[in-house]
Amino acid sequence: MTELELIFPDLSGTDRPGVLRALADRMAKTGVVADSNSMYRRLVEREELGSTAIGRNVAIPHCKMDDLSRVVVAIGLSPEGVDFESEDGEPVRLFFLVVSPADTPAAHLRSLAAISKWVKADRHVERLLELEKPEDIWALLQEGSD
Amino acid sequence: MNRKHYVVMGAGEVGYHLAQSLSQQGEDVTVIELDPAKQERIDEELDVRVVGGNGAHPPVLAAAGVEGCELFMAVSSSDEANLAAANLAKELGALRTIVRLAVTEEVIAYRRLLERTFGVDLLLSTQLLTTTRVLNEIHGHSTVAVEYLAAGKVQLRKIHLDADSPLVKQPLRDVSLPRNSLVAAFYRGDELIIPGGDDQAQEGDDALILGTSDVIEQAELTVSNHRKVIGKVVIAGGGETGRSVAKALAPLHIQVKIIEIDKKRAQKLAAEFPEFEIIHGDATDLALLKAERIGQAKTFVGLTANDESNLMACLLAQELGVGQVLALVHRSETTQLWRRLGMQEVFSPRTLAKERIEEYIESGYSSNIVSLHKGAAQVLERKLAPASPASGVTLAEISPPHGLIVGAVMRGDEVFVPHGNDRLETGDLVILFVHESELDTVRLLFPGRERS
Repeated sequence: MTELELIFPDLSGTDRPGVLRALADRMAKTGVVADSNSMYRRLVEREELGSTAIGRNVAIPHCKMDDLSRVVVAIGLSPEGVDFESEDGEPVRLFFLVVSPADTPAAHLRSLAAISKWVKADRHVERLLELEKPEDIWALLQEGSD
Repeated sequence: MNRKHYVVMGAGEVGYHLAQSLSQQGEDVTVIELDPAKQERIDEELDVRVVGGNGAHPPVLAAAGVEGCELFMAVSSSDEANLAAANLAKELGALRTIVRLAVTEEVIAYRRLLERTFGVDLLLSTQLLTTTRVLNEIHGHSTVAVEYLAAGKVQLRKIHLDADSPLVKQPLRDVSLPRNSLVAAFYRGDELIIPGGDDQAQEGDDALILGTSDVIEQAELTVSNHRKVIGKVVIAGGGETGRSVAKALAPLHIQVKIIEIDKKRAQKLAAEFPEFEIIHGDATDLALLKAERIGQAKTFVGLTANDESNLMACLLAQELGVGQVLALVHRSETTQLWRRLGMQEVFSPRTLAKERIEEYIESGYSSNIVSLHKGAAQVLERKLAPASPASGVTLAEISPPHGLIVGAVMRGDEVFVPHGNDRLETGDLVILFVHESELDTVRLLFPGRERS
């Protein structure tokens, strides 16, 4: 569901805007999106409707971008944890970022639902948060996405 | 035990009886009343504190100690003062507020807007309570509660199911409901089920049904009992309540006669309900009742504004052989007398309001349909923004999990119950039924502000 170079184990940012900014910058740096600012604005726009934190120390920030050709999922870890206004009040340490082309809303929604389902499965999140190396995280995700 | 503080605004019939029953339960009650005569009466008769003045004025509310009060009940005879007072009381720190309105159903259609705007936890319409009661009696089954959504274009009804209900006899997918209606929940004891096609109700369950206003009556009849046949209905009195009962009966294609003494009002009714027979005349006129063969009706409902006329008309209808006679009485203290005079079914709007408020207090303030079973499930209205993941996706593509139902979509002025191929669009207002286990799915896919 993601690629090795889209796993960011040391995500910067100490608050919600900071993390979104860091995610947008990393996505621009890896060349997935062209414009980090416009992606940041889209992510903020979505967060303004309600936090994408879904509990279990997880958030799924997401947006649609015009210049993409497929759904891209990136993973960010914030070992310290960030207040993401989660319903359960817990800090978020694991971020699944989903960016989709503007014209494939169904694929976008299905990706979000699939990640949400993966997160709910027993021990997935706990196990992932014990890992540090992108290779190990990648391996765990492969195992889970059958 | 800590005594809880309750504040009642308006010492009319509803307010007086609420204050009486709460103080008799040992609670700390303050009553706000404008009229000195009523202040004096309540001060002499009840063990409550009385504050004189207008409840819509902040100093009066402060003097009544609304800050931190368990419940502020605005039940005076002024709708506007009730709303303003509830809003102020909330701002001053009342934990919860109830507002009783006397207004028509058109206003109640905006109930959620009013609740949000004025910080009201429970908005009651005596007229809606009355209409629901009358319709229940006519149908012979029990709508437990009614709720309006999407600016009144969608109704929710909670209905008690008996063994004859098709919902009890077969799985939901095999029950044929009218277009633009659906079953949104089953209540079974302490359990609440947001059903999928394989789910089936059990005898004694309550069902929550949703439908656009043109099909809700048919949906209710389908769900409650196929074989039930409603006979001819005669309504004496074409005022607001009579009109609202008539409106609910209109989609059922049954014979309805309305007797109205006021000529202008009768003409207006005739224009609004061309399918009904509107009789301009006096419902207490025996010759008229005989000439109109009222005795052949199955149900006679006395809804005139005048208690004496109602009693007379209803007794005559009973004498002429009508099987079911329902009488509305405004002065609730006389209901016993009416029963002694032989009236079977007598009810007072104010008593209905008082009972509803007591039920709300007893249920721990959560009997509202919108929060189902103390939060086990919720009904949410969400406006789809461009950034909402559900924007632009068909219902089949969303493939809602068990525990989530997309109940209705309001697009502009149009409202429909969506099916698999219907695509949700930015700007749509969607009504969702969500079990608590799926609330996180909704936050993710249908983001928006939750109703506070």
